[in-house]
Parts: sequence; C-alpha cells; structure tokens
Amino acid sequence: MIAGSEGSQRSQRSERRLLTGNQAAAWGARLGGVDYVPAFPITPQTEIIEALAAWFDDGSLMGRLTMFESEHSMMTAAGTAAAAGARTFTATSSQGLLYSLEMMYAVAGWRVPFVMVNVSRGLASPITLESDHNDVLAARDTGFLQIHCATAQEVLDAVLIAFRWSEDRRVRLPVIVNQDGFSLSFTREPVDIPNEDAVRAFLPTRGDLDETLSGPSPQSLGVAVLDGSTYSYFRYQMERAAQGALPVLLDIEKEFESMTGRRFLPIDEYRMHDAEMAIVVVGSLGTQAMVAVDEMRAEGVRVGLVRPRVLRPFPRNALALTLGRMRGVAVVDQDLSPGFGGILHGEIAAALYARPEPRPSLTSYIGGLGGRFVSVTEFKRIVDETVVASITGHVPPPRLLFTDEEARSIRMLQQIADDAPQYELGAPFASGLEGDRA
Amino acid sequence: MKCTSDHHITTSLPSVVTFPPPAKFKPQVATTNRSVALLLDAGFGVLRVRIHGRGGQGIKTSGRVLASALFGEGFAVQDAPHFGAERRGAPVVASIRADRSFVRERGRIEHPDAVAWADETLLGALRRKTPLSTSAALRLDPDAFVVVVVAGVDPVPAPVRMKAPEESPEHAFEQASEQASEQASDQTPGQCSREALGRSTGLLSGRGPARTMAATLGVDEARIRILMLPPELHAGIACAVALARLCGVVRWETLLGAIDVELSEAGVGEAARVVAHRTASFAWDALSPDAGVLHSLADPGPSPRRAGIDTRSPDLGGKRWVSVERDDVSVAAPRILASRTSRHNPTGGWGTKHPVLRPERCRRCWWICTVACPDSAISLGGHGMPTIDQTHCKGCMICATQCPNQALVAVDDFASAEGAEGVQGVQGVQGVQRLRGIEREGHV
Amino acid sequence: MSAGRGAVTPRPHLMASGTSMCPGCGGLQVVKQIYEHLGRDVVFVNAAGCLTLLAPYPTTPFQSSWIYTSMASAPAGAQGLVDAIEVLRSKGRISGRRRIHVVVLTGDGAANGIGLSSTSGALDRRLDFYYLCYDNEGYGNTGHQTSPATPEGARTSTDALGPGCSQPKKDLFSIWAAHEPSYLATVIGAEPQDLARKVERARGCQGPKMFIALAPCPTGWGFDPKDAGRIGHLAVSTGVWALRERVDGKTVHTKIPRPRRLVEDYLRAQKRFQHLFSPVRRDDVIQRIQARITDAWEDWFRGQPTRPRA
Repeated sequence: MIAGSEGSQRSQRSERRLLTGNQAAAWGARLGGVDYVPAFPITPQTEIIEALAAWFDDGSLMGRLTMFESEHSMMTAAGTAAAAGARTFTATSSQGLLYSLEMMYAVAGWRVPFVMVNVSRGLASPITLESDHNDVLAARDTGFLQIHCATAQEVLDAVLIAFRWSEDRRVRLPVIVNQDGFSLSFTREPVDIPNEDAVRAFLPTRGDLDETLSGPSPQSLGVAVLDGSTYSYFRYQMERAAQGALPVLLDIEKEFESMTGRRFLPIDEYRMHDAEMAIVVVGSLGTQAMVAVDEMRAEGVRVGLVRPRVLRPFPRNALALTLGRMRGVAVVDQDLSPGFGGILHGEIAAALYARPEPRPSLTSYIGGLGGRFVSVTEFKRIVDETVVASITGHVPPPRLLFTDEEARSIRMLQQIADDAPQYELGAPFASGLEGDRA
Repeated sequence: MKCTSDHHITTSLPSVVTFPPPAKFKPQVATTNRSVALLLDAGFGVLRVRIHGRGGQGIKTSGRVLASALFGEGFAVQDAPHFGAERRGAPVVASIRADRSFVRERGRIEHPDAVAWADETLLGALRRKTPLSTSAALRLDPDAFVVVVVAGVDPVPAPVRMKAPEESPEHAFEQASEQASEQASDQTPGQCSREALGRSTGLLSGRGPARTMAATLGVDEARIRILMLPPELHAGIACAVALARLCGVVRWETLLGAIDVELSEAGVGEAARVVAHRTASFAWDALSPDAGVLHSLADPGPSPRRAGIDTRSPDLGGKRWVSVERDDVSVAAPRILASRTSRHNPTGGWGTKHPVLRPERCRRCWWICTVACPDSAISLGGHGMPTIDQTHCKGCMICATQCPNQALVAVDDFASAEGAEGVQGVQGVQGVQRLRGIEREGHV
Repeated sequence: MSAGRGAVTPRPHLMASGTSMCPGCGGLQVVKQIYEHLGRDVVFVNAAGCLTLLAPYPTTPFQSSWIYTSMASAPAGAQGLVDAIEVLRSKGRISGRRRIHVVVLTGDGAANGIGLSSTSGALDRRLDFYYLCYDNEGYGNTGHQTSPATPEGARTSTDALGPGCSQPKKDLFSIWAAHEPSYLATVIGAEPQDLARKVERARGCQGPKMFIALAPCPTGWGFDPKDAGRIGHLAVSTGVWALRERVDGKTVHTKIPRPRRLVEDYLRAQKRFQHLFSPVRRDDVIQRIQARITDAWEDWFRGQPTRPRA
C-alpha cells in the first residue's frame, strides 16, 4: 500500500507503506547506505538478510552481503569491516546473539561503529521462537548501546539514528536496535519511509576512513593489555562514551525530527503529564499498555506509560525524574533473571533510589516470556494492584503473569508428556495460584 | 616489624657472603634462637617477602617452598606468583605473606620486609628507565633486607675471560675451552674453591656491587647479601631458603620437607630434588649469620600492622584519585598507531648468555644468522658481517648453533669485565657492556 | 640447508625486536620470515595464542596493521576486512593502488579445533588471504596442554605422566587440502630457502593461501633454545615434518630426506619424549611412531608415477 497524501512537505517527500518490522529494519539499512552486511540466518530475523541480499543482487544497494558459518564469525567480520571503514549492518536473534557474545564484547572494545538489529526471541532451554528480552539483555554489559522499538516505524527510524549515533566520534560504539520477534518482526504496520536524499543529508558516508584500517597508516587494534590500570582506563572510556551518548542522541534526535517530524527521545512518555501511577514496559508491549492506559483514563485512573527506548546508556536521570513523582510504578519485565527476578525492575529501582523520599511503591511483574500474550485486562489489574500498594504501603512480591487457564493447560500437557493419569485433568496447581503471595 | 634494636645486625658484616665449607648435604637442625614456642606468643606482625626471578627459573615453586615451610611451622601463609603474559626469561615475582591468622591482605607487596633476587641481572634489566618499566617499583624501604643470588658462578674461567683475545682470539678460544673442560671434570658443584670463585666473580667481590644495589634499591648497604651460587645449584630454591633462614622461624627439617612436597607437586625428578637439597644446604649455611633477622613473626611488641593491613600505605600513599573523563576516541581505544614500538622492551636482559662475533671466522654468507634469529636481533652490518643488537637479544643462541663456521660464540654474562671488553674490542658490540650492568651503571 | 642466495635476500628486518615471545621461539621465527617476504602491505588478523602477545599495548613489532579477534574467528575477521576493503575500493572511497595481504595468524590449537569452522568457512568462500598456522603441537600460551596437533607419545601438561599423548597428530594438511585452497604448504623456520620459495609461489595465487609451520617450542617441548634449528632440521630429516606443497589438486614434496634418519634421533632431543627412553625404553611406542612415518612416506611414494630419486 502506498500512501503519502498527508499535507506537510515532509511527508510529501516520504513514502508510506505497509512493512513488517523485519522489512522496516532492512529499509533502515538500505536508506542508511550500508556497505557491508555479514549475515547468518536465524528465525525470526532471517527476512532482514534475505531482503538485503535481494537488494544487493538487483543493484538497489551497492556493497556486499557475505554469508558466514556462525554468528560468532559474523560478529567478528562486522567488527573488522567496521574497523576498515565500511558502514556495516548485521542482524541476529536469541541463540545467535548469545553465540556471538564473546565477539560483542571484543568489537565494542575496538570502539568501531556499526548497527545490529536483534529480533528478540526467548532463549533455550526450553527452546522457543517467540519473543522475550533475555537475549538482548544478556548483551547489556557488552558496550553496545541499545535501542528498543515498539513499532515497525521505530525500527526503521532507529536504524538510521543508530548509524549516526554509533559513528559520532563522541560515542563510537556499536548499537543494537531491538525489536520483538513475531509481534513486530512478522507484523505489518504502516511505515513512513523517508526520502533517500533527506536521509543522505542526515547520514552522510563515513568520514573517518583515514583513521581506519583502510587508512594510510598502519595500526594495531584490539591489542592485549598487561595490567589492571591500563585495562581500567580503556574499559572506563567505554563507560564515559556510553554515558555521554545520551546528550549526543538528543542532538541527533533534533535533526531527525526536522527531517521526519517524529520525535525519538530516550524515554517515551504516554499520558504522564498529570499521572500518579505509571506502567514501565519495554518494546512492543508498550502499545498494548497504551490501550490499557486509555481505558483506565476513561475510568478516571490517573495512569500513564513510561517506555524506555534506550536501555544502554540507561536514561537514569530522566527515568528518576519522571517516575520519582509517581505514587506507584509497575514494572512489567519481559525477561527473567532466575534468582533475581525482573531485570528492568532492578534497574528502575536503582534509578529511583537516587531520588529523595517519598519514593513510589514499585511493583514487579514478569510477563510476556517466550511471547506469552499480555492482555489489556492484565495491565489494568497490574495498575489496580499497584494503586493498592501505594495506598497501603504494602508492596506485593513479584508476580508471574500466569492464569488458572494456563495452569490447567500445563497440567494437560504434563499428563500427556508423562503418561501420568494421576494428574487430575484440569486441576489447578496444588498450592494455588496465589501461593507465592502468602 | 623489621629488625628490633636488640638484634645484632651490624653494619660491619661483609656485604658479600663468603660461604663456609660445604656442609656435604648433612641435614642440620635449626640453630636459630627463635624458638617455635616464641612464635606462639600473642602479637605477630605480617611477614611480607618477595622472590624475583625469570620465567623458567622455578620462582613459582620457590615461593611455594617458602610458604610451605612457614605453613609447616604453623603459620597461615599466602603465596601468590605473579607473571605477566611474557615468556620464559621474562621477570616473575612471587609474593609470600605469613601471619598467625588468615592473611587477608592481597595483591602486590609494596613494602616487603625482605626481597630475594634469583638473578642479579634482573636488577639491571628492570632498572632501565624506559616508559615500560617501573624503575620506581624497585625501591624498597630502607630497612628491607635484600638477598641477591648470583647464579652459576662457575669456578672455571669462561672463554671470553682469556687475556688478549685481540692478539690471537682463535687460539685463546680453544685454549679456554680446553681449560674449561679440564677443570669442569674434576670439580663438582659445591666444592669450588674460594679462589676459583673469587677469580670468576671478580666484579662482584668487594663492596662495589652492594653499594650500587643499595643505591638502586634505596636500602641500607649493610642489609644486602650477595650469595654466589655454584653452578647447577638452583637459584630459586636458594632464594626460598635464604628467606626462610632470615625469618628464623623455619627449622631445617621443615624446610626440607617443604622442598620435597613442592618439588613432588611440580613433578620434578629425583635428580632435581638432590640439587634442591644441596642448594638448601648451601644457602642455609651461607645465611647462618643472618638467621632470624626478620623476626616480625616473633615480635611480641605492639605492631600497627597486626591487623593485617599494611599501615605504611593506609591511604593512597601520597597519590590521589583522579576522575577519568572521556578522551577522544583516537586514543580511548586499545590501539597502537606507532610502528615497531616493541623496541622499547629491553629483552636483552632476559638471557644469561649472549653471542659475540668472531669476525675472522665470519664468511660473510650474509643471511644464515640474520634469518635464523627469531627476534630480529641480528642484522647485516656495513662489511657484510652481522651486528648483534644486545639490547634485545634474548640469548637463545640459535645463531651460534646455526653458523656453519662457528663465527658466533656464546658469552656468559658472568664473564669478567676485562674478558668481555676484550671481545668487545674485537668486534665493537656495545651490548656486551651490558655485562655487569649493575656496577657499570653505578659508575655512570 | 645450502648457503646459496636463492630467494633469501638480505634486507632490513621489517619486524622489530623486543617481543615477549620465548627465546628461540619457532613461531616467531617463521612469522618474521614470512612478513619479510610479503612486505609491509599486510594486515595481520590474530587469533588467541602465543602470538597474541606480539602486540601488547603499547608495543608492536610491526610496521603494518594488526587486529586481535578471538581464538575461534580470525579467518572471519579476515573476511570482514577483505570484504570491506574491496567494497570501499569498488565505491572509489579508498585508492586501489596497494595490494593489501590479509594474513591470519593462529596456533595449532585454534587451527585444528576451535577455529576450524571459521577456517572452513573462509576456504569455502575462496577468501583471498594468507593463513599461517604456527604449529607448536600444544596449547602453548597456557603452558602446553595437549591439543589436536600434539603428536603421539609427547608429554604435555595434561599428559604429564604415563605414556604421553595417546592419539596421533591430527592431519590438518589433509583437512585443508579437502577444501582445495589455491595454495597449501608446510614450512619450517629452519628451512628458510624452502619457505621463501613457497611464499613467493603463493603470492601469485588468488584465493586462500594456507601455510602450516612446524614451530619448535623450547618451552613446551623441552630443549635448549639454541637447538631450535637443530630440532627443526631433525624434524625434516627424520620425515616427521614433511615439507609439502599443494597446488591445483596435486601435492608434491619439496624436500625428500634420503635416507630418512630414524625418528628416534628427533625424539631423543626433546624432553617431552624422554619417557620413551628412560627409565625403560619403550620400543613399542617408538616403533609405532616410526611405522606411522614410514607408512606415510611409502604411501606417498606409491602414489607417484615414477618413484622420486633421493
């Protein structure tokens, strides 16, 4: 579908199409004028590299896509190609991201710029295909910056912004653009594709070739260091660059807005101006949460949504400022750190602790693991519980979003799996669903 | 801790230990007056010592021997070897701490009570003031005790020590070789005469070396002991034994037991064990005048260091924390833009032998030695003959074995000065000046 | 080794002194030689191994570029570099005058094991690069544990007692040969003329140019560094290390030892094989090792149209 009938000059220069998240990612790389794509297939990411391969083949894109024998190799090549001055894009998911993790630390330490789209998918075991964020959060300490998207439009925008951000010499770190498998990767949505000339002005070709391995002078890169002081210095330079990347993003975002009319702030706030309660969620669950917010607003609940777009660098101050004035904050983690709980919950708590008391009551929910659907009703129930917590001061322990219907279903599966008639068909768990609340 | 006033350390001790007649490997009972009973008294300080050597010298095992011996005497010990990523021949240090209760402090020992060097050439090598060596780190507290082991002191004159090599170098070489083989056949380690040692270690006799070392290390000259170790004895073990002796709290049989345990764990054979026992006997006797000079372990007096914290650096020791701000990415990554910077590493300090050219034998093939040298330390000089970069030569001696005309000969770094200079006069290799670098640098 | 001038010509060393490699390192010896033949227009892509410490910050012996990747993926790093340079050149963003040789450096541990997959990938893709495996027959950088390249009977720090390594050395040459690289050869630093000629020949080939260099290791094998050259010559003259070359699907031997010395001479010279001689001589193991070498050579002779003369 091609639209483009909106009145502004900007949208006349852009083109509106229905794209999946994966296609939007590929379009981002294409508009970004990518030189090189090291690739390895993995569901639900594969469409991205298929689209780019086709464009390299038909001449829509000038450059090269090379198929590797593993994500570990793919990540190595992404790093060396970026070190040689090529604008490099790659994509992976889940097990693939973990397989490349050794090299993610390594290439981030090289301080080379490139963009990787991760299509989030739950990690084995048990192996699954649908989305949660444990994969991308496993990379949160690598030195890669992280952008998390809620719509296909954001995926395209994020790829363009990520190239600018990554290549900025104040930053010079690789960037992950994260989108959720299935709910974005395979889901078509209207996407505004910016005009190529406008993008070229926003994102010129890399200007640092002379400093790269393709430049006139030799250099030794990624070398060993032999003592803790030297190691500390280089690692902390990554911290300084990553922390300093937030103001850089604000600069880039202003230019991006003047090109597209769309904002791209580190945190997306929805109906927060007079809110007393907030939901915090990352990724495409954010739009679902917006629906819940609208319905509750209609019922008179002063609730809003805070969705961090950027998790690395962690926008700690902005989050603390926004959430610190709430009476209650509910964090819905689409991830799980066994033995700790929700990863985002811990990070939000750390941000809030910097605020003076009184602090909001902070509740923790684990939802959407392995693509498990989170309903609007559940978001509303979460807010209800958080309201009670903020009034009584009693914060309930973390909860997995899991219904009695799901419990009956798992009992049926167990009965079949174990050929065990002693499981009473459809019986709830012995300890009851509220057992962990006692 | 350190020496208390009641201890009889005097400055009148000779700075060179002239060892007594060899004890013929007879196990000896500790004669120290530091009885074990005393150690059980309350109030001990932490003993902190370091052993320095080179990769391949068994420094790690030596540290373990000392720690095991102290452990065997009932102390809680900590032994921690530290070696960089460098290889055999590169500096290694073992840190040993001992206390009555579990040793909590960790890391590099900044203020050792005593230090033993398994190889005196390390002092010279580490002292070079390059951006890569922290010569300041060599500085010790003035009251620290230092044992420097000069290993492989061969009673047999080395070839280069022959007189007047410039007159008849070829003849001198052969003569020296014959002489060497004759003498080697009728002398066994530990039986070398004082005269022989005096001859072969002329540079180290007298106070000159100790004075230079004292200046380098910042310690009292009277606290330096130079232990000249006959060949085949184990320099690392000598360090461990010397330090054990200085502590005065390790009994002879405990020490031998520790040696046996650690060598067995290291998987060495019976022959090495015998050598270690001989070494122990030698070093034990040699250091007997100093037995117990480090008696922190037995010091019953109030000690600020009793808490296990090195109170001599309770703060940042005159340093201060700074804020590491963002640098431009051109310098903020582990990236080297310059070329050939490895030249800043003076790896010439690694070896104990180095090649010198005997030009009259060189056939100017102009490639065998230069290609064979793995370290690019031999290049072609102006007359088609090789020049050797002694600052970087690691002393592997591949060149000497590969040269079909034996035009490159191995020179022992412990050769006497006049001999070395004689050869140098022949071919003008500056690096031989490195020999006895400790004293030479002292004169500069 | 004749003292002729052949392809070995004197020139200032490209590689500087002062590396932290062990004295007498056979790996360093071969890297130094190959670097001098290829010239300074190279980029080294290094895998974790002994040679990682050629360039610890802030020192490098090279006047060329170097990038450290990981143990498993150096050939992939080379692929990214070659691809990027070719793309940028085709887009006119870098000048095309110089031909950059991308050279992968790995030890035998990486080449035979953890890095075999990425090597195979690069060979599949016909990557235009050089690959040098310096084979010191063990995980040398960690203290010489048994690797897939450790020969039968050798003691290592993980086969420290008993009969030593129980399996024969992995045949990396054949594994690589099955990929039919453009050029494949075995070399050794102790035979610089042979090495020089092979590098020169490889220069003329487009695609993967693979070298396996036996790297006598004084530290791991247990011999005096000064004997590194002698050990290297023994490896060749006993037939343990066959100097070979494979181009266009045909393998030839570039140095046929005639007569071959007994392998015993090679084994005796190294501490890692001493347990085969004392306290009890292990004729069974020595004979097995000898038989394997003899069989390999006889197999090769049989495959020749005319039996090569000595």
